[in-house]
Amino acid sequence: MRLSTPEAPQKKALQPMGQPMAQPQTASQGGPQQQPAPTHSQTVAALRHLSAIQSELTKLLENPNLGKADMKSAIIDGVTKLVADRIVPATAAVAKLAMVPDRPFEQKKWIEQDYVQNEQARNLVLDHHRASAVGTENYELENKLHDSDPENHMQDISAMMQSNYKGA
Amino acid sequence: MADSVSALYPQPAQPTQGLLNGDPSKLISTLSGLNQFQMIAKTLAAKQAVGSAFQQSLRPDGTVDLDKTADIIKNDPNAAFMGQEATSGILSQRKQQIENNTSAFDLTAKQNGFVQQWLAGRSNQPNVTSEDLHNDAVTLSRNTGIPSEMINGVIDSITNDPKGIKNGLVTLQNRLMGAATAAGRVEGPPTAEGAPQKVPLGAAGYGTQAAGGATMQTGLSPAETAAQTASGSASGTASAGALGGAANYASRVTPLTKIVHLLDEVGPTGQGIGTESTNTVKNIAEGLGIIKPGSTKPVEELRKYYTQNVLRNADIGSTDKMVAAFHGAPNIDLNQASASDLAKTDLSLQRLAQAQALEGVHVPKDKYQEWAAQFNNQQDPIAYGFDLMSADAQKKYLASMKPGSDEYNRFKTSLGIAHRHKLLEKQNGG
Repeated sequence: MRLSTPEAPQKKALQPMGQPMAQPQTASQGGPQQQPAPTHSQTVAALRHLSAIQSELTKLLENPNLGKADMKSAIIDGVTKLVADRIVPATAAVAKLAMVPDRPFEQKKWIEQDYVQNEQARNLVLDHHRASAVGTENYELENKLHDSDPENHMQDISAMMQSNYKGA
Repeated sequence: MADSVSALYPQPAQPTQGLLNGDPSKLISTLSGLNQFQMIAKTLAAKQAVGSAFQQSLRPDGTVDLDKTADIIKNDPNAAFMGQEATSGILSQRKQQIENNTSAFDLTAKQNGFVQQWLAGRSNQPNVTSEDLHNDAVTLSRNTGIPSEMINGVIDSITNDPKGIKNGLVTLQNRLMGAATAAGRVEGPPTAEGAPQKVPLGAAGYGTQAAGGATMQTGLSPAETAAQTASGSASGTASAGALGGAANYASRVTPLTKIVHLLDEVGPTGQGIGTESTNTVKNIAEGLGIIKPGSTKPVEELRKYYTQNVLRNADIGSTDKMVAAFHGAPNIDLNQASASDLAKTDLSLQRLAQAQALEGVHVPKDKYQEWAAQFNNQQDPIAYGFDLMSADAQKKYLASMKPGSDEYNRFKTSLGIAHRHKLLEKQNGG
């Protein structure tokens, strides 16, 4: 009988805003392993990633035909742009496009859900980072930590998913 | 049995297919049970009602019967709660959320030194990118107690500012400093010509071009200063010259006036050579050095002399008009004018110059030249010689002007000034 699952620590780590993340538990303490928080550059990569997706979703939501006509073409355009900008891998884009509903109304609902989830993800990943990384409150010093590189976007995202959100 | 017992415990959210494999957005699919957006959750039921209305209105081809949708929404209380949502969409909600977060951020940030340091640094940076702002979001998250939702909302409001990121940052900075502080003026960048100027503190960050009318020039550019010095010098010279001329007015004008009257007596061609009038004209002109001693054609020489004088002191257009007016015939021009007409024109111009000097006595020296140009444009030089005209010429000249017209008013004003300074011999003008 299990009282917790491998996903449970993630839930703790991503508690509602302002609440500190629980300290990582070790195997010797008898509890499951805490998911490590993403680093500064990984968190920036996540925000970059989610912002790019949000931008494309916003365009779709602003389209007056949304919910009234078939938006598949516009959705393909948006996903293609994300691939071209090296935000998402082509294989993932193809998989995502296969999930686009056929009916206009369902397409709208699908896009809206993605948008809301995307927004939640931005907050959750920031919360997760904050929960374990302690700031120095020294602006100049903190500025020197800005080591993100958009050129390494795919690698940063991949590394973060592997080390921080494995199984997600 | 074990399976049935474990089923009693809360189960974790099952991973669902997110946007992409290995993508952070998938992360929240597994964690969607952690709802940080309580407002969204509260409106879920209403959204479902709206969704249901749309679903019931779907035509076989997938398009929506909006009339039917509206009818269903109208009759469903849950849907009515989100009636606006049904038309304006989720983006409006997000926009409102960002506004709320921004307002809340303002309150928090005013008390937070780190936020102010960040904002001061970024606002003064010329080319802030969205990548910088992503870094800032993470840094702010780590160093302040500001909730992530608020940070992301503020970063969104900066990034999506219609005038660009820079504008968004300065706008946020101004909000935090408050209206009173933002209105205070500070030294701004100089104008394109190099003149110093002040800008409101709140406008300083936007740049002078964006600040537009808010800038206030507080000095002259180097070029303007040089021009002012040169212009002031020229203006001062003109002022001094006018006053010097005014002092010598009587000595210049008295013999001229006499010559004007004598020329009227001798006639246009000087038929009266050898008469007292002609001898007097000759003596005066010789005494003033206008003509050479022993001249046999004093009137002709005077004509040449006054022609040159008139040409020097008036523009071509006005000289023709003046000699014609004094002659009483519109077809007379400078070449055909008699010595008498030319002498009267010269005398009128001398009187006008005197009026200008007397009227401009209180004008600052550095402004005199500009003022004098304006004064001359508003004067009718013929009015200053109106007393020299024959009654017939006066009537003709007055008849040529429509009462109330600009030229009539200019004449009247000029005559008034001439009277005021007692420049006319006979007070019969007008």
